[in-house]
Amino acid sequence: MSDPTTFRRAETVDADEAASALRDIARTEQRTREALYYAGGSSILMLWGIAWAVGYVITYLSPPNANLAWTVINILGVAATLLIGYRGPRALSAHWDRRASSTFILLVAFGAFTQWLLGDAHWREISLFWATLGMGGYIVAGLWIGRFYILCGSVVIALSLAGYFWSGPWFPLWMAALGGGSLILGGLWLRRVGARG
Amino acid sequence: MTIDPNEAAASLSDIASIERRTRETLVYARSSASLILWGLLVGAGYVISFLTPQNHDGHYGHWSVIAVIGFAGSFLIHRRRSKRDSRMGELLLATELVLLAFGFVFLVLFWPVTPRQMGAFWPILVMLGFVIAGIWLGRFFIYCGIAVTALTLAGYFWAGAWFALWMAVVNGGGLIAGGLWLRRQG
Repeated sequence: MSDPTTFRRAETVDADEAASALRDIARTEQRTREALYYAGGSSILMLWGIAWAVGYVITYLSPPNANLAWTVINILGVAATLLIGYRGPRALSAHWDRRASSTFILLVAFGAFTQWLLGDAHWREISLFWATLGMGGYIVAGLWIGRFYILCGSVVIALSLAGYFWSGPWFPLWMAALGGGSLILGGLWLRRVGARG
Repeated sequence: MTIDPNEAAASLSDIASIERRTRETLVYARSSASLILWGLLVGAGYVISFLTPQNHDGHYGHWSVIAVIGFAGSFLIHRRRSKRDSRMGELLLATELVLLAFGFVFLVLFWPVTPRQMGAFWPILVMLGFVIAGIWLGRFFIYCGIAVTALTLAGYFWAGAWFALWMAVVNGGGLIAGGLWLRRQG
């Protein structure tokens, strides 16, 4: 029969071991959270990449129909995003739940409100506003969830600003190719990372 | 020792609930001093806007000073507490800075903007950050964000020439009251 004092000694951990164990748990938690949000983010990124590309191509080819096209694209995009969030893997759905949907809807509502409040901007500025608002949301999310979103948001904002200043009348096509394209590439990259994980 | 799936699920749910409450406590403790600081600064800023006519013509010098003091103060508060919950403080400060940077970008895009529009835009942007933070970190921020946004909009539409003073009370006062409430909770 073993000595009870020996048993008690074996069960204790010193402060350094405890701190190290807690750090390991925090790292594992962080990686799990990243993996869950990356898994759901992949489809959503590709969806919005395609939506952007289609919207900007229509804007370039048929400016009078641009407003209608963007209204339809945004409604479909929001609905599809919420659907992907709720119908994703069970583990993701639990995390996605109401919080991510509410955050997304709030950002859209804030964008619409700001556009109404500050009004009087040209189409080119409004385009850039929505791009920076969406990608700003990605950057803030990236601070808390995982660096990929910071990188993706920063790249798309930089490309959008470059197009705004230097692409002249090609701005819609620039946004379709580089803005939409970056989102699609980001989504594909996340999917690959998810598949490897 | 065995444990059935229901017990395991209940344990995990307990752990998640404790984690959520711990995070809430950390964020609330971290935010109390910052909220009071920003409440005082913003309240003072709106009073200056009301009292100095040149500010109504689009001069925003005092707001730049207030922003610099506010962020320096937030940074010092963060530094003072950094030994206890470093990562959380860094994230909150970084989020504040990102929000501010995007606010400036949005204003540039929609420029020219009237002082009244500006007076409504900033609080609503910050309160958007509050509500989103509240969704993820703790309900207090949702209530605070919704209340200040609603009062800001009410002032924007109905306060007339008293808008700046209205904002000093509801925005500055709201933040101070929120910070004091958080301090009491802590």
